[in-house]
Amino acid sequence: MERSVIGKSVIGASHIRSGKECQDSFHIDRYDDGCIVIAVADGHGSNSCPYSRSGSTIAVNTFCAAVRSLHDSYSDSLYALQTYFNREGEINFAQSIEHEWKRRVLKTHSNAKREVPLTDSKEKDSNAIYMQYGTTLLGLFIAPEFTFAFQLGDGDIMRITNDKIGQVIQSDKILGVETHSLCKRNSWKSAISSVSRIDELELPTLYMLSTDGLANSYLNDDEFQKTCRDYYALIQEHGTSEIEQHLQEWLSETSANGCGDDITVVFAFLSQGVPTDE
Amino acid sequence: MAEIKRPGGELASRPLHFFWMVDCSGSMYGEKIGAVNHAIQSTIPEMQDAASDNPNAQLLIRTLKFSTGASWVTSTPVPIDEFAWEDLDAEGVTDLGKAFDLLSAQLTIPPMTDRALPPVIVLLSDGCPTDNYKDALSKLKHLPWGKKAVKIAISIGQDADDEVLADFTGNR
Repeated sequence: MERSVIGKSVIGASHIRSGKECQDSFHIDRYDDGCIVIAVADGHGSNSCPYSRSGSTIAVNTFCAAVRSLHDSYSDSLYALQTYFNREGEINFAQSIEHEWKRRVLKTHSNAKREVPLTDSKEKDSNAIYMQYGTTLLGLFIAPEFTFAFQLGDGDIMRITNDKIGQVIQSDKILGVETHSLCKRNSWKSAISSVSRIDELELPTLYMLSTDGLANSYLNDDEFQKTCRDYYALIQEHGTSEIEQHLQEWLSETSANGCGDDITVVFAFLSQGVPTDE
Repeated sequence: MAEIKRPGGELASRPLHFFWMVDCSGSMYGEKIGAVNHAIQSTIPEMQDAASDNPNAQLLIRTLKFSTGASWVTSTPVPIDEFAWEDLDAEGVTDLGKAFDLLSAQLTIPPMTDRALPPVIVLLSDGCPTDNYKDALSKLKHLPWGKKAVKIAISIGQDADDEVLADFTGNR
């Protein structure tokens, strides 16, 4: 099976106008055995979250590191790893993601010598620190025979084949501009995950992970799904390398004429053939 | 690099629905309704400026008036750059509950969509509703968009019944 992964983050049109930096982050890891890990995160960017760009970077790094660690532990049996994700994706794994993200946030805050908020009893208010780094997190682990998808907050993980399109996880989107966030107490309880078999008969298959700036830029869900199908067709026709060269322009235009938010998209295209190093 | 058209469906900014709810009951006659008419008229240029600074949000205005019964002055959303204010008169009782019912019908999904920005509802009133408004207000506040809406109440006149307005906003 051939696997090709590309991704791009663009700053939102509204952030360009207001002088804010892009709050999105993404990370791609490729393992020697052909497994791939993708993570995408959207920092909240509000005035109460001044370090959310850092928070989103920490989130994608945390996810990739956690999956790498599990992969190395289960390297003798990816089937056992699949079972672990099935059983613990929304419990132990989600808890470990929250715990590690918060640990890294406190360390980052300390290393940067940023102001430490205090509680009424004059102790370090860790929750107030976490809030300043608030972010969502979407992740996808692609093994030879299965995928593990993880989502905490808004955004989309889409799967497109020749005759099907749909979300890998049905996220419980909150109306308006709020979202679940890693910074909340017990944020792991808001995480959702799913494990799916890869059906080689359905190849080629395209996975798209995107922050909500992409879907929110389209008139409705039908137009967003049309977008996903179009990308599927274009990647089939032109290949990921060619499409990657256009992403900066296309996503910037999408933000400018859509919702104005930062947009991040990562594509993982699985097809029949000999694996290539891309 | 090959010339390839941007993929994708129709792009759109996110709608921001803004509702003026204006008390046109008899107790608002004279200076009060005059103040309301003037106030709303004077906000239009500011709102137009704010909208042009935020082109990715589509500001859509509607006006709902209530006195004896309630009705839409503008039943379909009007883009702010096309919005013009026509002065309202005041007479009759205060059917605030009926106004909430009309508003609730517009905050369900559909006609609202889930990609809209949280709607803004501005209630201008001197209070003293004459119908059972509490049930209608409760129904409004239990709607998904009713919960998310930004609710602002502007008390008109020194003798206004602020309890009702505080009930609407949830701020006590």
